[in-house]
Amino acid sequence: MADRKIASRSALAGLAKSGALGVSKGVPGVRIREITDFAAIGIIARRGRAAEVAAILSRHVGSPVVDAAKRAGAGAVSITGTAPGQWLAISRGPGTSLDELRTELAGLAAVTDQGDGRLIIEVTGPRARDALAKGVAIDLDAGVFKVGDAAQTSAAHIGLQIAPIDEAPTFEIISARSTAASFWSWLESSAAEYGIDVA
Amino acid sequence: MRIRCPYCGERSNDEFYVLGDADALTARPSGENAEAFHEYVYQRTNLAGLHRELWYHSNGCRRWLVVTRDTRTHEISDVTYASKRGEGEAA
Ligand SMILES: [Zn+2]
Repeated sequence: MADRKIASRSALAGLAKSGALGVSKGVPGVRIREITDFAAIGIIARRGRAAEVAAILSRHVGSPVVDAAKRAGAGAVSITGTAPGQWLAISRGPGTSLDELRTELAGLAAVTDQGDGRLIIEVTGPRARDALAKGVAIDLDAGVFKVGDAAQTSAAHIGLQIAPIDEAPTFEIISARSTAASFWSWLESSAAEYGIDVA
Repeated sequence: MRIRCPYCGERSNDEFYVLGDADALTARPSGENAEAFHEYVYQRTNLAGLHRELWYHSNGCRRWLVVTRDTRTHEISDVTYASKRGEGEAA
């Protein structure tokens, strides 16, 4: 039998080529960066255990995690509420793992590995909000959707979670890897008129 | 129409899937009475006024909700998790 190697491949590999896209005059209005090295787990608290799970998550991330559509964590690890009693934990960086957290949650929550199932991108730039507003039907205004908030919603019929992670603003978007090509097609078309820089 | 999901906040109705009468399938009759069973499965009132209906937040938190809506005006007066409609069961 021939030797087979499994190669790590990012969700947008072959789709999003780095460089300039869309109109090119002056500063690009939208800058997009794919996060390629990360671990991710989905967490669903067992009935009646959400508060205990939230306490463990808070300890792990070093800031309060609540049972709501909020994103906690300013460093490599972030935890975002996705539904009542449910969260998505992400740890960024090559070779990173969430095994320790998974062990701590044993018996309290159902934990599933999502590391190979997600696309993570960051969208920033002076026109990032305008580009996203073409498909994300929630209020993205800085006065309403603030750092620490998060939303589970959709764009172009594709489910996603979105959170502003700084005041630039930079939006973190997490979506299913299986529909990453369709999502990219929507994002590229929506941002083209502002000029895009792909990191 | 916009629906205020208890978890996600106010969202466009196109993030949801609607199933209809929230109380239709709660009192199952004996299967031996064919007429009553037919009523239970197929017959629905088409009322003009306050209607409790099931909506699934498919492009959001993926929770089933009970939405109380006035079918004449689309005004929504209440939204709760469907899982709480029984015996006060936790979501
Ligand atoms: Zn919801």
